[in-house]
Amino acid sequence: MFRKSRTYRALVGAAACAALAVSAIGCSSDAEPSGGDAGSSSGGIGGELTIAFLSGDVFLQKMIDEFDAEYPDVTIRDVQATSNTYQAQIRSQLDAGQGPDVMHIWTGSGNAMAAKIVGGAGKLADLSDRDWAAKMDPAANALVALDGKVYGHTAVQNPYGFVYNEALMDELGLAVPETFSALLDTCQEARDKDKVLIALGAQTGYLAYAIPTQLANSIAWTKDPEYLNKLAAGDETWTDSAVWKDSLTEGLELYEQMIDAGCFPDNVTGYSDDAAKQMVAAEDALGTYIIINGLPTLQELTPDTTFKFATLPATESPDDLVLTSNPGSAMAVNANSKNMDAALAFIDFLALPEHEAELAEENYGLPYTTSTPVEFPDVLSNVQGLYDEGKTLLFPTAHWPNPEVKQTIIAECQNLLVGAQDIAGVVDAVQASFAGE
Amino acid sequence: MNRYTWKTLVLEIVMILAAAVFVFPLWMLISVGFRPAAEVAKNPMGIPTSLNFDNFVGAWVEGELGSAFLTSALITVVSVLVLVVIGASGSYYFARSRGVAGMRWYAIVAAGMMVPFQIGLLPLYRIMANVGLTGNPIAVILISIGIHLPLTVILYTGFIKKIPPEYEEAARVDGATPFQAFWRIVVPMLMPITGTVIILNGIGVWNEFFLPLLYLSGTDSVTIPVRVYGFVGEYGADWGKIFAGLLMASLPVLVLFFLFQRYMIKSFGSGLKG
Amino acid sequence: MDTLTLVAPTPPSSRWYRRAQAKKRGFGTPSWFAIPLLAFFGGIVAVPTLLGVYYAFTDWDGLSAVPQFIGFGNFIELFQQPKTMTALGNTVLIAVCVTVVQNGIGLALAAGVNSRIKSRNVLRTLLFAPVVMTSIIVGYLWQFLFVPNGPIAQIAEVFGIENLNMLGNPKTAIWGVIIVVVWQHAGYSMVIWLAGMQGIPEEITEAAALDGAGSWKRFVHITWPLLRTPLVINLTLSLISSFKLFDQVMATTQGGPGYATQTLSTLLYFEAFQFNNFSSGIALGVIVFVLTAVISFSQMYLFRDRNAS
Repeated sequence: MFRKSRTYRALVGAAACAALAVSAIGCSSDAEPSGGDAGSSSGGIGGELTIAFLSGDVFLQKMIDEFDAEYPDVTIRDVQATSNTYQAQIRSQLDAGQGPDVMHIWTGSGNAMAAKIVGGAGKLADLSDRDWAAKMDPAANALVALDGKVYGHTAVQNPYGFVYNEALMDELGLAVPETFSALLDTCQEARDKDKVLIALGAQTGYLAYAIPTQLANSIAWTKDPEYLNKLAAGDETWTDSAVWKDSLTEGLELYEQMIDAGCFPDNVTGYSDDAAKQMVAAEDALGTYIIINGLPTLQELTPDTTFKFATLPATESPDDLVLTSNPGSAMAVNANSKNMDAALAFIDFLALPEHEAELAEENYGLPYTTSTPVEFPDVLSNVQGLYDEGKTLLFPTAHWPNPEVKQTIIAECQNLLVGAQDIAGVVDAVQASFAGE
Repeated sequence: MNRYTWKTLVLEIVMILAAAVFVFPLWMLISVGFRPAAEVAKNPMGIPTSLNFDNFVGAWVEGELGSAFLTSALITVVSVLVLVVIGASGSYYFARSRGVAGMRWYAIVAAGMMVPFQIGLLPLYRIMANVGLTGNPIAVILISIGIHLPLTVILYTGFIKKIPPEYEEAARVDGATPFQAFWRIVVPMLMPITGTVIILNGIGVWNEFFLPLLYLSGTDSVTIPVRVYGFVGEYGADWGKIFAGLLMASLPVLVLFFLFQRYMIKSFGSGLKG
Repeated sequence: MDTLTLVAPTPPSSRWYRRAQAKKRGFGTPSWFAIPLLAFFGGIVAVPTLLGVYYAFTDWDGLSAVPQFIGFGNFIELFQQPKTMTALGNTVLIAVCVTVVQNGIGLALAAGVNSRIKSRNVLRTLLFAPVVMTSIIVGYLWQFLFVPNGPIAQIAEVFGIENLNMLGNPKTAIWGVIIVVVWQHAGYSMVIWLAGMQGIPEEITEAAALDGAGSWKRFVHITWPLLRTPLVINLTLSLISSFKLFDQVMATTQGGPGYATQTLSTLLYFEAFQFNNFSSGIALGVIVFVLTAVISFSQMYLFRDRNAS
């Protein structure tokens, strides 16, 4: 009697449908395994190519479209993520010998998905025999090479600093400060007019430590322009370098002065990067502190505003101004890629000189050496002089020996912003993390 | 007690106010979803003056939500189906086994609920990679089933234990096989608790995030939560599309709940009696 | 036993013989019923977890080749770090507060919705709506809501709370997270309470009403004692899930500001995937498991059915 019941028939029907469905998805997915099959047909690039990068990367999206047009036999699958999940996702895949064919990596060793860390673990293909590898700028090379092997392609650095609404600044009669005390004064003047000078997205980790680190970096540069190179080369260690430690302490002191002068919004730790940009878009703030390749996102919020970039002064002398840049992203190839030909072709495509120039344009990046001709973006006009004179400096994170330092300094700076930590505490914690505690 | 007194009216007003407080974030979802991003930046709390569907259309198209819906639905339906079938039969063994073996296995499976999934994350991924299932929705189905078994087993075993075994014993004496006893006597009585199992597991599997992200990124079969997450950018979030996406993703499950809520609460209830 | 007597055909007289026959036929259930289930459980949960636990005792970083066995080194190191203890404290705080508040609010809502008010079906659906939403997106929603001078802050001003910086102030950030979780899951608790309430026969409550007991008295003396089962279920489920809480914290504060909202699960994630320190992360996972097991079992023991027949 049960066999004839409706429930029974419904269950059988459902089971049959499920079986059909499972075989359908199973079959269709088998036809397109991720990572591509041995699709490199003789004489041509084909198959599937999986490319992973951070969402919001306008330039890379454009490159993918162009590559797709030029190599129609390649099916490109893009994987986009935010850094919150990127490390976990990609590292898990790499561990099992899977993962995207081409992927974004950070440069140096300061991040869990950094070139030296992932390359050092043997998960990235060695690109040193590619044509462009030999022509790489030594600064760029130092960021992606380990033991003579080149693990990624990187071409530009992205200025890291104060991006502001030019029209609004003029309207309020404010000038871009070139000394630190002028900076404090400008902050005060802005506050008097009910605006905040710098909308800082301190809730988003890396922005909380950006400013004091940039200031420390600039101060160390004035003491010894080669300090970062020495540390990168291993001539000195971060834990022992007095230049670094003193500069960090000073940088944090300047940071506190900025906080007291009202440079940042009240409750600054409640604003994420995105919320800070919204503040700029609503004209409650004059500008924000970002890496320049975050500008396209800001521009989308207020398409009609013209933005300009300025670097924050750390001393009382305008001659001490130095352009701090974040090493741009690097793209690497999975050592276990199933479509190595297409992956290498894509990297080579990115490395074409005209594309490097385009990268500079789209993400406002600057090549590492001034000898590469580049049309200087208007946004960066304030710092063009610095760049031409070679007064540039890398943001130090890439050369930090392990990823834990970054997390420590993020947490300590957030605590500093809310008054839960003092400068000595921050410095001690950071120095301890260098030692790999 | 069945009359609608003035006290009931007061209660109604209080509940509506309480619900309003509760529902305020949902209102924000709607308000931001129906307005363009620039307007939201200037005035977060505003009321939409007109129903602007750009975000919804944009989210649907950019996020390829159509195919994501199909994938999510497929994964959820198959997982829940298998969970019901093997959960019920396995729990039957745990509940009815005469020795301690049954209860020992039950304890092991139930304890599985307390295990953080991260511990087994990498070894499991390696296993799946070795059998070639990464990038295949079947991997997500299999893993979802495994993850939701503990709760399913707890619900079913508890429920079956409350069913007097006499009916089955009688049938067995009559010559029924264990399977027939199960199928003809116990299964029809399991309908109420199965409703609970379906809804709880359905919600859980539908909203799985990291699992599809890890296994299915870059393929054609990406689930809805991953797609909506895709609107969160590295340098800024497209709130309009995120909220529109969330509304669209939640609506089917919510409509289902509205239609079946009485049945579901009754099934919860009968699952809890005793 | 009586059923057996009626149904069994011409049995030999003694009861003992019938029982022996029944035992011979094996009225237990054959184990093959459970084989698919155990296969799934073994392959998906048990085996990978056991394999994974091994890494907790090594120094593996998650990517490079060969892990070295280091015994309890990870655990010792973890317990010496202040941030582990902070995370532990935060996790316990969240678990306790979420459990109490979420189930309390759920109970109140259930009581309200269980009445004769006209809007109860709509209300039940609206109150359950947050439950069906993806956790990580809910986290982002609340990050949006809690922005200083944002929607919640503006409402708070109406109530006299100026300058609300819920997620940016280390003292209030964790309460912000608790609010998010309670908001998302209160509907779930509500439904379980509701189910329990509807299982209470109306005659009892009506009789009490006729006897002159007010609604509060009816609730305390009649309804509440009969809600033991939903209480246990609610407590167990919310404790277990709040110990594993991850998505909402990651989306709102990523464990900040400082370490104010760092939980064991977020710390696990950071150690395993962002510090190149995978084995430490797994060790934390083991700690979470032990903690969850201890607290769940204690809670089940405390609330065990002392009247079970």
